[in-house]
Amino acid sequence: MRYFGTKSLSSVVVKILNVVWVLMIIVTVLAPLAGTAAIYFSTPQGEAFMAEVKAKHPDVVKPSEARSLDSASHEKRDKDWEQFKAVPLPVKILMLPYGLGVLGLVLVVLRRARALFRSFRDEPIFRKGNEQLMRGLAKLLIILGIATFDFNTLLIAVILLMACEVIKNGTVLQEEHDLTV
Amino acid sequence: MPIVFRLDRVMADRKIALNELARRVGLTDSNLSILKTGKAKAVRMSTLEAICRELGCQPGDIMEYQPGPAGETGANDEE
Repeated sequence: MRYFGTKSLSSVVVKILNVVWVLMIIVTVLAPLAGTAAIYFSTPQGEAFMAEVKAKHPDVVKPSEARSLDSASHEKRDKDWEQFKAVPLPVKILMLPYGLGVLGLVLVVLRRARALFRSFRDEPIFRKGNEQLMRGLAKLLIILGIATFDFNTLLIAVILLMACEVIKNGTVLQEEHDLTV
Repeated sequence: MPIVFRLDRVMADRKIALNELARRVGLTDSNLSILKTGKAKAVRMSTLEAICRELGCQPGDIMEYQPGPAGETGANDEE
């Protein structure tokens, strides 16, 4: 199996990342709406509004209620919703920009990862540009790891930083090789 | 780098063109040009041998050591 160049693992990863990129953009566009709606419906006014709608349209069944078989997930969802409702409103409002910030960061990480894998697909591996892309990606992952309290992301970032050094040394060797007559 | 190539001088003495020398030595024109312009980082012994053979000269005729500023070794001058 080839890892770099055309028709390799890199080209497959580029295609997957392109799809994920589009999905993430859709999620990022919808997230503020969904977040605002969740905050509103978790307030007493929102609950009153929902009760009013239910009273007006008693025949309308929520999708979660229609799926009566998966009662375990239904119960968990209800439990999560109750927990979310118990969170004070200022905290809920603060959660919205935090979530959007994390989503934005994920988008930037995805963009850089796409550029890196495209470069792996199209160009020689040992290039200064690849080292810079990888270093930038590692720094972004460190920020993301800290922001989401995710140790795995931090670990990946450290491994990437080490791989940067390999690329850096490889670039020097490649340059020497290219300029050896 | 303190090592300077004087390939152009020897080539002019022998009245040989770059592409002709490249063909005889078995290098591409661009690689010989890298050597001629002093951009090369290293020279293979086989290349040096072929150039000396074709030009009928010694390695010292085409390479010259020119001491640079203090501290410059030439080994890691790209850093």
